[in-house]
Amino acid sequence: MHPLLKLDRLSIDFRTKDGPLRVVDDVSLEIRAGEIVCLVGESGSGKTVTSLSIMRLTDYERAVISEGELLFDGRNLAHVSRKEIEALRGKRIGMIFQQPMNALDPLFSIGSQIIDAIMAHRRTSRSEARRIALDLLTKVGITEPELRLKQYPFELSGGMLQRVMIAIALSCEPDLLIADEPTTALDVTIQMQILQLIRELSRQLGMSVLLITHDFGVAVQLADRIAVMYAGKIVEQGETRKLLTQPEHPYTQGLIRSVESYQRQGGELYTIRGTIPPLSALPGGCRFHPRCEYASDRCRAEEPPVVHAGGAGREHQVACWHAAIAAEAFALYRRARQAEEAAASEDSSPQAQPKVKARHQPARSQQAPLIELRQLSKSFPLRGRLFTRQKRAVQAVDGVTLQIHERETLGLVGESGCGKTTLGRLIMQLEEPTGGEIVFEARSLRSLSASESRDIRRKMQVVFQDPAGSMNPRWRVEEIVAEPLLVHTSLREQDRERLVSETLQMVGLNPDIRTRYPIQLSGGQLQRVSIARAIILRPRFILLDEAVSALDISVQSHIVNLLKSLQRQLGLTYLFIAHGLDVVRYISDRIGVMYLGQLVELAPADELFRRPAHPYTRALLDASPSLDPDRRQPHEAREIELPSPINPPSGCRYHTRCPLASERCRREQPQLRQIGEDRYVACHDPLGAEQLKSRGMAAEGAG
Amino acid sequence: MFARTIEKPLRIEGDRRSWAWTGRRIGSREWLLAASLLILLFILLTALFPEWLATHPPAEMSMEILQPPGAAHLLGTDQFGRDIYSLLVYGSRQSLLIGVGSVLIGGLIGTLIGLIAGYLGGWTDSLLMRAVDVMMTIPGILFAILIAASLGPSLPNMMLAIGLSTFPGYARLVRGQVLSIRSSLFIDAARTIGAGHAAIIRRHIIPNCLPQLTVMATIGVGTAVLISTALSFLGLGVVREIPDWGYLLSLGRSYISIAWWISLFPGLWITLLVVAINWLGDELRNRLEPGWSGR
Repeated sequence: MHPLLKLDRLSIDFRTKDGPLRVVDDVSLEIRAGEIVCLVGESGSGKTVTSLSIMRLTDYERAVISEGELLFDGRNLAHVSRKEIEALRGKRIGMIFQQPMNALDPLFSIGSQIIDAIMAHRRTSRSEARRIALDLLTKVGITEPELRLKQYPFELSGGMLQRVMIAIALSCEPDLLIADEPTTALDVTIQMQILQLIRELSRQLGMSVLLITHDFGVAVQLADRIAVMYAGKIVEQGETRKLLTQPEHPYTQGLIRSVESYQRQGGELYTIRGTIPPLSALPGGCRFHPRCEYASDRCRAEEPPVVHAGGAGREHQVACWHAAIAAEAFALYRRARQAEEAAASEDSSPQAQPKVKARHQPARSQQAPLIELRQLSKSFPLRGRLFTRQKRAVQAVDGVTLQIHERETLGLVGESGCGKTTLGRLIMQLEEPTGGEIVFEARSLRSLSASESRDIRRKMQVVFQDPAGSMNPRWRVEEIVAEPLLVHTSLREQDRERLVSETLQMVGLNPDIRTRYPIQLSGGQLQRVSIARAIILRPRFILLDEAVSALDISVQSHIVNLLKSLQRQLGLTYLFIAHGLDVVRYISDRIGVMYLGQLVELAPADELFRRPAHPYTRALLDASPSLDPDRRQPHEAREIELPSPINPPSGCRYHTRCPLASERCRREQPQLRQIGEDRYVACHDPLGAEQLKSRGMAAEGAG
Repeated sequence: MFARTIEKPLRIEGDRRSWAWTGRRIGSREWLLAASLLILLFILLTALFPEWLATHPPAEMSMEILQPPGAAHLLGTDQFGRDIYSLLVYGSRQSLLIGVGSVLIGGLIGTLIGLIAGYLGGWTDSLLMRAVDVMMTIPGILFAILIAASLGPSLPNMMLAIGLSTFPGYARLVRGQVLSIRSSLFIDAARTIGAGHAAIIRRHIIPNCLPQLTVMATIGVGTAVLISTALSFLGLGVVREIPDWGYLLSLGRSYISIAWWISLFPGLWITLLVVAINWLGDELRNRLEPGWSGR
């Protein structure tokens, strides 16, 4: 049986002013009927272009298929007429994208968009199409489908919109679904539901899926087979479990080790050295050689061919001269890691408590906290509808009390809309709180004179998620980094320049880039520049608002290592806001979990991960895609949505989603209370309460 | 707050500053730019050094009245025997002065109002912009006529008249820009650094408004020249020994059936200047905006 889709030595060129630029080079990939294949790669690896080329959407992007074949169901699509390819689009191949909000037309109702999609390909009456649409919405797990048909895209959440997109893609029962980063813009809990849905639909309908992602965890959770792309080439592909346990290409190994090293506490993160080369300046020979531990003269000179690895495994292909050595080295690493894990799990048994606690600073309780939030609240008024006087408000942050100690990293996690970013903005005084107060260095930020306020600004800095957006696009790097100096100091120009160069070096940048503009830098470089700007005044506190979320894993590890070492060198205190749980766990000493504006749990990082006390924390942990294919969990594939913060549920806000909710939870709102040393939770009936209680008492007795 | 990967499949190496790279795609664009720059350079030279470029003293009358274009008189003569080409050359200075001066006046007033309204927002914004809206309902030329008529014809008054009738456009443009820049992340970043309002406006907001303002001001010079011509044509212009372009046009009107060149060449001359300025403005827009927009 021939495969449904076969890319055979496919190459794609972009037309640029300097001649053609090869973005996909000699890629061969097969997808059989009913199979789920993931294409994993970092930004600029060519994975998206590959996926677009299958429906020839690359035609609209100045790209041409220059070599090779693109066989769909035995037919070569590389050079068929536009008419023929249009007949396939939507009908036999469906596609979903990263941003469902942009992929739907805001002017039309959900219903009319689904019905139009159905009628474009099937000869049905409108009422019949409507029936099919209802059917599809039910199939993708949307509640109240009748109501959704009448609603407009802006009325639905991101998760629901992605379900609608899937419904539209399914409307003609395609043989192949291409999903380009379908869950990257969604929260972890929603991401899991969507992945689950895709897998179930694939099984039910016998539909093949090509999933494009940068997240190895997502690929592992979903794929039958994984192909890893690097700089326009597939460097390794194989069956998921085999690829994960016995990767042979050093790049695949590097990715896996990077992801796994987040789970290990202490020590530096594993990083792949260097950065992805731009496609316009690829190194000769093997493209990975400048970053590879095993690189030899042969790697520098000759490009390795794709070979079937290990003789027997026909499925497994790798393009590396030193695959055998690399595979052996990885096996050693695996064994060492397993031994380490075994030791760690012994450590975490109740008898070995002190070792876990060793990470926290001693005698913290005697020290005054650097930052203290007291019942901090912020509500945003909503514009009332026309002709109604009724005033409504979103309670973005609702009575949060917590302390951040000197030199500590406090992580803050929660789904989008939980108020974690607003909390950060309140601390940075970008928003005025509507209740409660913030205390910094034992001074309330409520009543400050202008000079005190300036002094505090100097000690508190921030690094945003989108480094490009946080810099004036018309300034050079040196001006950007020197801005705090201009505001707060009266240094002479040479001193300023010297300090800027020093700081750039501290964040691992070559001072030569100081004359460049933000647009000329890569994501990782930009984030380093914004870190440089944050530390140049030697502040005491830095807010890291999703500071590494937008970065590729190999870049992210470098930045996280940098942040950790800067913290040690400069004695910094961090508030680390993120939704990637692995990163938060690795970098934080303590972690706070927020839900709908409230702090629901606060605990030391390891404790939180090992023994979550709040059901919501547990749900977040479970939803985080792990690298263990055995941990694929039968999740609820139906939509479970975040309630609106405008109209939060009564009682415990989580009760609508909580599997353990009781009558009491619906009536009475639980307060944040202490359940153990340094552990707080807002739940009537915390998980593992018995165990904690006994240990808490034991700790008291010992103290 | 959404996670997203920063997709950058095409990193073009080397200098990516707007001037260096955007225009290279299409060759015809550059021809247009070259042509308009050439025209503008010539007219600028006539304004600076008319005595070099003119063939006759401008006020010199002669017996050769109403001569058609020829070797002696490049663009013919008027009813007083003055050389039309030389008159046009000598008229440049005043027209350009009015053009640039009125744009400066209108641009400064408009920018100031736009900045205040956009940055402060709230009541100030509503109040200022409603006032500007009212100004916009009055046709610019009518307003200029009103001012010119009430203040009397002189060069500064002419600039003031045209400047006052064009400032609402600048105010609206700047306010819109300020509103969008004010909400960008780098303004938040500057605030957290501790920069005050004055520093934010001076160092972040104004520089980011400048490209759009430059484009509008460039095209504004052309518009101002047109308005001043129209005012002169209506007899509200500055009366001098040397007639300006608009006055020339109106002079030629009576002789249009026997001496078409008296009106045609001044008309063409003005058209050429305005078109060249508009081309330049469009090209500036193409070069200054795409690389930076979307932020």
